[in-house]
Amino acid sequence: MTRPTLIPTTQRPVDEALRTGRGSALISARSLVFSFDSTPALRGISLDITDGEILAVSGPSGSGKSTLLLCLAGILRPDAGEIRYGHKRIDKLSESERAVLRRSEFGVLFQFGQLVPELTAEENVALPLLLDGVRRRPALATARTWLERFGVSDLVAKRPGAVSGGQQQRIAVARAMVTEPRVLFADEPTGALDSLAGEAVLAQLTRVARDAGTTVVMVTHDATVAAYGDREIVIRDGMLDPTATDRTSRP
Amino acid sequence: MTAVCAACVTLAVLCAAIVWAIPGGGVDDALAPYSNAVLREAGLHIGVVLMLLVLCVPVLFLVGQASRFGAPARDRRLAAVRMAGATPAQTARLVALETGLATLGGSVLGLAVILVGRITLDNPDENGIRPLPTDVAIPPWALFLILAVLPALSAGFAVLALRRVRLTPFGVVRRRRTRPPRLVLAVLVLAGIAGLILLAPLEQAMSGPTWGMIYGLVFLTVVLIVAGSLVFGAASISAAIGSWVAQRAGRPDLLIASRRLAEDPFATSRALGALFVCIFVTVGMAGVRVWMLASVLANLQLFGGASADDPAALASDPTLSFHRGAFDLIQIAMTVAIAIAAAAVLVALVEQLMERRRTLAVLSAVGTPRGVLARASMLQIGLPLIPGVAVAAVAGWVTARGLFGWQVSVTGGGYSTCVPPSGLGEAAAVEYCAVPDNLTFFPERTVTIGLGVPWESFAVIGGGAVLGTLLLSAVSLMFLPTATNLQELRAAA
Amino acid sequence: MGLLSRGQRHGYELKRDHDQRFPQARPLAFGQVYATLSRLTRDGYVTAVDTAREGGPDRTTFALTAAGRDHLAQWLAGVEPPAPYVSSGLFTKVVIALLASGSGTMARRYLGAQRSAHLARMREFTAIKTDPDAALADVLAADHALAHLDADLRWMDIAMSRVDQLRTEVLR
Repeated sequence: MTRPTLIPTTQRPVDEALRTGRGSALISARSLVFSFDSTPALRGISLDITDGEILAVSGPSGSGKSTLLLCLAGILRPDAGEIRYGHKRIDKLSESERAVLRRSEFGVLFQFGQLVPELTAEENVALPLLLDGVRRRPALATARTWLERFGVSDLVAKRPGAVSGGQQQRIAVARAMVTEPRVLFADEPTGALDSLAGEAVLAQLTRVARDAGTTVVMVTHDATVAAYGDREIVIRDGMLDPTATDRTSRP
Repeated sequence: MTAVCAACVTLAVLCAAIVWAIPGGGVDDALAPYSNAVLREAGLHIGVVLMLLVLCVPVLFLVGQASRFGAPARDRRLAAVRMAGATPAQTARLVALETGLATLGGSVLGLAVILVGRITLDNPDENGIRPLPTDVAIPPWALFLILAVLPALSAGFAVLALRRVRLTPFGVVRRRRTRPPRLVLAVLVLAGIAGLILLAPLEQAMSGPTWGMIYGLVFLTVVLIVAGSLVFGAASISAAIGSWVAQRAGRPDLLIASRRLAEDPFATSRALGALFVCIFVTVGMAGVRVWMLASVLANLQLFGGASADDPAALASDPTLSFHRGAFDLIQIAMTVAIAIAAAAVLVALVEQLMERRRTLAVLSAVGTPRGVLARASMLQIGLPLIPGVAVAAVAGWVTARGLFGWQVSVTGGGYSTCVPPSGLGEAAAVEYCAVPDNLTFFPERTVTIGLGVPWESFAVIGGGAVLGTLLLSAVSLMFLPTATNLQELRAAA
Repeated sequence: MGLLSRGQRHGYELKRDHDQRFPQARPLAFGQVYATLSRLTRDGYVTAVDTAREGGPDRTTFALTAAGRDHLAQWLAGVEPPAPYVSSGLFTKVVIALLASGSGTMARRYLGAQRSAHLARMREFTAIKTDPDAALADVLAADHALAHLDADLRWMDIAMSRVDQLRTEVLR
């Protein structure tokens, strides 16, 4: 399967293990268990995420959905269970291997506080590229293009502290997408924004993701946000709610 | 932490006071029965006192640093007190009481240590000569100083620091220092150095008592300016370096470090400033030491008849070894001071790491390897450290030279001596010496020893300081895993 | 029928139950109750269990048959069409679902299915909203629909988490 590339970036070796083809499971998890100290957060969750879909993860607060997201993104290592990305098991990888994975294949988006306050917007967006070894000028140029796609190109030289919450989130989305990740993990991306600002972020995010074929896993407790996705799963008390399995796909 | 540092300060002050109180009587051993030569000579007492006081400076910085460490928690506590209805005056009183008591506790601790030391370390040998001045009573004014004045001072400073923090009943609103650091201060350092270089030849040219005093005053002022600008200019130097590097940085660790430095140079500049001043003083001392040794050497060469290349003679000379011993002591003290300043840098770094927990966690989540984060932290110190140490060292050296000149010149000779063979009676000796052939004539000559730059000393002091600081800063990296703990990422589980 | 699933009832009790549980609906008339009951009996969903005549109005107790239970279950398996306005149909169904099922699983299944249906509808409206060529009027209508559907979902969420509480309430 060839993913449509929007902007040529550094040549990335295509992992044969990831050629799963459209419509098959890109990420699968089996019996995930995770506890924070002695508090159980995930109690055995199994799910499959199709390549190219936008999945909404809903559930009451404290249900473990953010934890699930962090595990799938390779940020947390589950206590038990397995996670596969393509055909590769990622739950047993070391921290540095997972860091490489996060940098090259995944994009992450949080609710707030995710931009480095000292760096300008373009430097923030260019950071993942710089970490990959891209030189300063081309990295900043690519960053500027992405900022333009999300409609915040006028904020290029501004610090995060000098722009509004909605603009910050858009810069953050640009940063998450700059490496053209295969999967974008978003944790309550519009949680801290008012409805109009949130809508702008979501509309742009889903549009760009659909154009690029990026899989999106989005944690939210808001149904109107979940409605931007193709499918929804509900997490309750650390487990997948079977009665709420949503089989409908996009009209 | 306040108490510990207060204890150290007390120790230093008390030691100084005791030494001051040693009955001075010149070189008469009977009056000052101590084995340590430095303690014997009254003239050197002032030096020791000054040295001990100088040691207080970095410790004071450490106190300031440590108190800022607990500041957020303390501020929240005070805000809660305000919310409960206390007036600003009452909170100020609370803070003063808290700090004052802590300092008092530290002072008492220090006093206890001294007293215990006096009893246990009192160790006179058969002649009644002691290694340490444990028989001298602590002068009462010193007691007053540490038990009353010191707590009062620290309480006062704590209240002054409150001014910068507005404790409204709604919480803590800290007025961030938005003024960019003044570049003027950094420039002053250079001006000071230039001034010192210029002044030295002037001193050689003119002479006379009034001129000497004026020169002394001017010199002192310039030195103080240089020292002050080293401390206060550290921030602007850091910010300038940070800005310059940030606009060109292509590596993520360099970018993060330089931007962070430019954004908030004050976080580490205080500790760095203290370090720079210590380097300044140390190198200055080294310069003085070089001068002193060289002048002794010149005298030796001239009058002692030894050649410059005779190490045995040099080593055995009592004046030389005395001076060497004294300066070694000073060097040790300064090394301790530098170590303390480096510790202050460590504290500042850890504080910074803790403050930026969320940002670091997010960076880690995005895939920044630990190594990059670690290097960024080190670079934040390293970037201003190396130029700063270099400048401070140069300043110190120039100061020493400015004070004592660039070379040592001793002139003597122009007389004859006669060494009569042993066994002659007095009359015969006089007769013997009347014969011109028996006289040895010392022509007038001048021995000049140029004071070269002791590169090894520089390397040791400067390099040692840099390495030591970086090593200590590396210790702060131990806190990195705690700081990037991914718990920070849980927005709402 | 949902009310009957709780146990046998007299006609009079049925009316009282209905009016209590569904205060927004019009109070049932007795004639309506008996007409419905006789129709249900004819269809085989309800049977008369006991007829005690104790001098007074007819005290026939009615109960659900097995067929009746199946019919009820089938009804609960289907979802109400999601509507962007307050739907008494939805309210009724949710309450009945919570009443009718013994262990709560049927209720949960129904609510899950209803949520899916609602979300599918919401996706349609979201697509309308995010269409770059959408007219303002369409966007406003979509926002309105979404807000109401979201309100339904929120209410169903609360109801879901009160399943146990509500059941003890209903049992009284």
